[in-house]
Amino acid sequence: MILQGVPASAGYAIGKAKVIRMETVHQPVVRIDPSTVARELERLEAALDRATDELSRLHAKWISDKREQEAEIFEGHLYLIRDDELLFMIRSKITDELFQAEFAVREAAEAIASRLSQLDDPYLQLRSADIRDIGDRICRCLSSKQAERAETGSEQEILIAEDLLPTYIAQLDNEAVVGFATSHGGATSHTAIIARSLGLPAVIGAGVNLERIQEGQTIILDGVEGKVIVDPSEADLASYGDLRERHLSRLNQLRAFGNRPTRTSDGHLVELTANIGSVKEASSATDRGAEGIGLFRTEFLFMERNDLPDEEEQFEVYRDIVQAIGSEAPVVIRTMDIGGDKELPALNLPKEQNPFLGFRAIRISLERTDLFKTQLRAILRASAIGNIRVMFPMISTMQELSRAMEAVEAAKAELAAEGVPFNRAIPIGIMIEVPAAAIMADRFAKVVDFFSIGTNDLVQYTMAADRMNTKVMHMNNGLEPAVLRLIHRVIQAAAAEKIQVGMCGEMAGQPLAIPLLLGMGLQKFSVSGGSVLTVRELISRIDRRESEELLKAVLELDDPENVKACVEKWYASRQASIMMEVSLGKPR
Amino acid sequence: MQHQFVIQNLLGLHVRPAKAVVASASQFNCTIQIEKEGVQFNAKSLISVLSAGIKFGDTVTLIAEGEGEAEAMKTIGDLLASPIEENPARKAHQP
Repeated sequence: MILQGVPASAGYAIGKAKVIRMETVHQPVVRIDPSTVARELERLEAALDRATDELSRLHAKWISDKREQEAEIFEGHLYLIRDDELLFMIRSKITDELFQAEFAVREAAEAIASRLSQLDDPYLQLRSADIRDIGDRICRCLSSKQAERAETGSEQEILIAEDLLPTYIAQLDNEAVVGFATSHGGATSHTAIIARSLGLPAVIGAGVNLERIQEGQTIILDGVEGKVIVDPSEADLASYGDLRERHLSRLNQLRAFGNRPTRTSDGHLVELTANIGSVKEASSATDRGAEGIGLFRTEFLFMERNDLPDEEEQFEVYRDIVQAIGSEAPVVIRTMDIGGDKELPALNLPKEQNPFLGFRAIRISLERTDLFKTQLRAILRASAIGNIRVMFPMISTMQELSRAMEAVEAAKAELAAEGVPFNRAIPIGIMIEVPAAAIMADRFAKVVDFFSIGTNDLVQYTMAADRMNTKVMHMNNGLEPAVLRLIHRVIQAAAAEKIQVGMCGEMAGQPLAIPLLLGMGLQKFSVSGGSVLTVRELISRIDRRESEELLKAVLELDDPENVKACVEKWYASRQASIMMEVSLGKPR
Repeated sequence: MQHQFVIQNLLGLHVRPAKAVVASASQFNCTIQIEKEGVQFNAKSLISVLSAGIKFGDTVTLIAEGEGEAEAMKTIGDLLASPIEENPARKAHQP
């Protein structure tokens, strides 16, 4: 069986399927016969034992990995799963109300969780999420479904799942897992972004047939063409083994581009940095030749946990990044960008109809000024030891920007009064990812020190096409003339005020877009760690004046297909097509 | 049997002191309830004790009934009336 999906992270992997099921389906109300109460209670006890075992194992694993935060979460769960009141409530729902065990667990967990969430104490409100989580775990154990977290074995494994959380991928034990495939999701989902930064081959959106794959089946994952081959023939195994070798040797070749500045063939210098979401990625970004960090997505500090990171914890993370990358290298820290497809359990934000147009990112920070100030103080403190810049996400209006800048000033005043060192001239920038900000770029450019164009959101907002929706994904295209014009205007607005302008969206690493962006005068490219070397090689073969000519021709076109054809023809006429092919990841 | 106590722990019955109370109560076979403002909470359940929201200086009634109630009353009562955490300083962060 061959399944076609979206190539999300280039590379080839061969391994055994490891099937991950994220959650059980909601159970309907099922009542049991009074005669089976005893059996139901036995099932419950067995499930509790299993859930406790799972939690102990997870706890021990995080302890041995020195991940104290994660370990602490599971330690708390181990305590709560044996809670007298929770167990009493579950048991009485089985014995008195004759609920099936699954339903009793869910009802009891929900009752306790909603009671906790109504209390004044924010700490206890957060525990309500833990109680629901525990309820889910017991239910999974009752229905003997797989646990959500993979146990990593010694064999090379390819994860197969409906969807995987970005944080889940980020926490993977990279040694056993050699790739993954999901049935849902598009190429710009955060899961794909993380996969690329870890250099893990991935195929996403492979369709529902993926869920028919059985545990342990042999899988070939083709992250270049977006194919998942189940139970491959000997011939397939041989030819993909060969492809895999060639891909790896191509990666070796690229290492030659590791330690050098990024210049166009006519000597024009640009900055090439990496997008990261964790300290681990910062170290791997330097290994992969990044000149700095163009985007640190701080939301990973806030996700998959039920409390909020305090100033000290945040400061230590920012400091660790500076230490990983060096005190001279630029590090752009983006304040938290929660909302959209990234949830923040600690804030208990309600589900929204339109999360990408809702309460997220700077909109939350400006309302939750306590959170914002804590983060700004931590960033400012780190600015004393590294080349730190602060960046605000999702800015739409000048008013939002001035409120955010006031918050920076207030944090500075506090630190100054406390005698804590920080860089008083810390550069402040904004993401240009909302069309409103792109249109007003000339005004914003008068106020901030730099722009960073976030194309993933800018494209989806400009085209009104959801990047997660496979039906409209084709419209989510950075080569759409409307998008190109908007980006061009932003770069021109920045140039007019002599402020720096970069791009940290996926587009900055796309071979079809790179000559156009160079032609527009983009100065900084921030890409996933795994793309740094290919982008540097590509830029080194492009003549900037020629790219300006190309841009001029492209801006006359109305059809993104024609734009694509025009850029491809331009590459071909430069005999650089082979180079573009390899940059796209095809080692042929 | 029942008896009143005034909470002496500076942070109230927050997670760590509450865990100590629950651990202590769980050793006894009798039922043990903590009553605050007319509402009873199961002293053997962390969830229950925490949701009582008991603060420093609150007066609570400890109710123990059944086997070993006198000993339970003494042990848990002593705990409630003591500064359970000696120094409630902010937890030092480990890098």
